[in-house]
Amino acid sequence: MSDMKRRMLLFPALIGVLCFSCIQAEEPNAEADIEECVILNANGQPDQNIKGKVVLTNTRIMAQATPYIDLTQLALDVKLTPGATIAPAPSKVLDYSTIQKFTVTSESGEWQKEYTVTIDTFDLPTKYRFEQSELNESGKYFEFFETTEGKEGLIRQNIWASGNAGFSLTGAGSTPDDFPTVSVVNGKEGMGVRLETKSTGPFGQIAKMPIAAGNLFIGSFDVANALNDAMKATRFGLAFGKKPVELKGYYKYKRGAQLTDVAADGDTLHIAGEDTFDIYAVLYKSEGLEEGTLDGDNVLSSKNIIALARVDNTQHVNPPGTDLNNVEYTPFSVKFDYEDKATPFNEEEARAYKYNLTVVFTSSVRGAEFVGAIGSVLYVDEVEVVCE
Amino acid sequence: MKNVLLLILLCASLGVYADGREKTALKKSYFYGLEYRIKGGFNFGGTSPLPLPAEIRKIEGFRPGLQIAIEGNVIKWIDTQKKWGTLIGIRLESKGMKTDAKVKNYYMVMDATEGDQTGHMEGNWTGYVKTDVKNSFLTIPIQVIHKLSPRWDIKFGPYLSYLTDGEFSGSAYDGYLREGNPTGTKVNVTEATYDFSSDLRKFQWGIDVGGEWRAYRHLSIYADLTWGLNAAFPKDFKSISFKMYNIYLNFGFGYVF
Repeated sequence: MSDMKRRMLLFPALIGVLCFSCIQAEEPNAEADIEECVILNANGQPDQNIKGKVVLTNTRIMAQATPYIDLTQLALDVKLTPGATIAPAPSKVLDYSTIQKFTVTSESGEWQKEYTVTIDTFDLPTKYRFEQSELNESGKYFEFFETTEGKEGLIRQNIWASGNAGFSLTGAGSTPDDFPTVSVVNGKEGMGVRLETKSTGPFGQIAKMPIAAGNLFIGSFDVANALNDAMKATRFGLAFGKKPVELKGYYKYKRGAQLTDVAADGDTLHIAGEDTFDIYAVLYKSEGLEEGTLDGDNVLSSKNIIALARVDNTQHVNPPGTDLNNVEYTPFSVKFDYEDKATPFNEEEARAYKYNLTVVFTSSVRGAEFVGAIGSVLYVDEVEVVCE
Repeated sequence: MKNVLLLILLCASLGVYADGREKTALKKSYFYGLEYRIKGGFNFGGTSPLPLPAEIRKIEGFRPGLQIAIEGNVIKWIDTQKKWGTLIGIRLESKGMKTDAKVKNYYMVMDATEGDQTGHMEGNWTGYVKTDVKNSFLTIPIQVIHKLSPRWDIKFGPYLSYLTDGEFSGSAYDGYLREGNPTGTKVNVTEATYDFSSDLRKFQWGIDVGGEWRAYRHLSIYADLTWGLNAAFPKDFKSISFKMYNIYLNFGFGYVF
C-alpha cells in the first residue's frame, strides 16, 4: 500500500515529460498579403485591355494596359492571406489614372502592409537613361524605374528588375552600395548602372549560390522562388507593341580575377577560363509560356523568340585590377536578328501586344548558373531600343 | 560513446574488485555511514522549450533514440538511523532526441561568419523543422537522500553538467521565410540545413529529483527526472527565439554495495 503511494511520486515527473506534446492554441495569422489579383472593369468583368500578366510583388501590383482601357472606372478582385482585411474595399470602382493604395491588415491586427497599384497604359519606354532609382521598401537596395509624361503628370513605370532581392536574403550586403546592382553617379551622362559579381557569403553557400552576378532586366524577379529555382525567378520581358531593330548604348567592363563554378558543398570552385559580360535584348511571343514570360532557362533558346540582339562580349574586356574610373565608356550597337527564328514577326500580333520585350545586362555571362568571377564589373548607361 | 564504454568497464571492474575483496572495507565504510552505488540506465526526454510556444503547430515525429547514462554514487548517511543522507555522484550520460515539427510564423535570426564574410538572415519561418540533438555530458549530482522505508529512497538536489560533446543540427524544409517580419518578402525554401552545435552551452545545471526502489538486497530500480534550469544555449544566442531546456527522465538499474 505504502509502496503504491510512493510510486505516485514519480508521476508528476512523467507528466512533465509528456508536456512536450502539449500544443497551444493556434495564433491568428500575422501575414498581410494580396495573394492574387484580377483587374475588373466597371461591370465587374476581368478587363480585356490588360496586357500580359499582372505582376504582384510584396508591396506592389503592376499591370500594363492598352490605351483603350478606362482607367477611371476599375475595380480589383483580390485574394488575401486567410483572415486578413483590406481597406479601402478593392471591389469598389475607383479611378486608377493615379496610383491607388490599399492597406492590408493581418488577422492578428498586429501587422499592416501597404500595396500600391499601378496600371500603366503607356508602351514600354525605349530609352533608358537610368537617372531614376530608389531604395526598396525595406531600404536595403536600389530599384530602377522609368517615368513617362502622362496627362496627369509623370507616370512611373517599374519595368526594371534585378536579383538584388535575392542577394538581400543572404545578409551579405550591409549598405545599398554593397549590392550587385547599384545606381552610380558616374554614368555616361548623369546617373548610370553598375553591376558587379559578388560573393553571397556563408548563407549563399548553404543555398549553393556562392556568387551573385549583378543583373538588370526588363521584367520581374520572383524572389519567392529565388532559392528553389533561381532560373525561374528571373521573368524576362514585358508586353511590347513595336518592331525593334537596334539595341544601342554605352558600357565599360572589367572581369574579375578568378572564374568560379559551384562546388559540391556550395562554395566557389575555381575553374579555368575568363569571365565576361552579357548585354542582349529579346523579342518573343508570350503566348503559351509558363507565367507568360521567358525565364533563365529559355531566354536565349525558346522557340517563342522572334528576334535577338546580343552585344559581342569578347571586345573591350578590361583585365582584373583595372580602375574603371579611368576607362571611357564604349558605345555598342547591335541589330535585332529576325533571321532563322522559329517564330516569325507578325505586324498584327505585335500591335495586339502578343509580344514581350526584354533587355538584359549582367556582369557575368553565366551568372544565372552561379558561374562567374567575383569582382567582374559592368557599367551601362544611355541605352536605347530603336524601333521601326 | 567512448566515454560511456569506458565507464561501463570501470564500473564492472569496480564491482568485481569490491566483490572479490574482503568485505571488511565496505563494512568499515558502512560503519562510518558511507554507502556506494553504481547505476546504469537510459535517458528519455527532450531538449525543448516549455511550454511549447504557440509557433509550434504539430509534432510530426519524435524519436528519443538510445541515450545511455552510467553513474557512480557515494552516500554519506548523517543520522544514526540512516534516514537522511547526502549523495554525490558522477554520471556520464548522453541526452538527445530527434524531432520533426511543423511551425508557423516562427521568428529566427541567423548569423554566420566565414573568413571576412558575414551573413545575416532574419525573419519568420512557416514550414517544417527537423532537429537532431546528441549531447554527451559529464554530470555531478549533489543530492539530499531520504530513506522512506528499507526499500524506498527519494532524492532531491541540483546537478552540474559539463558538455563533453554536443550536436544540435537539423534542417528547415518545405516552407517559406518572410524576410525581417511577417510582412517581409516571402521566400520559398525546399530545404536549408543548420548546425548550432558549437553554440551549445558548455556548463549546464538543473534539478534532479528521483527515487530508488530496492528490489533485492543489492539490486535497485531507479528513476530521476533531470530538469535543466539554464537553457541549452547561452543568452546571446538568438537563432532560436525561445529558450530550450534539457528535460530528461533517467531510469535504470542500480547496484548497492
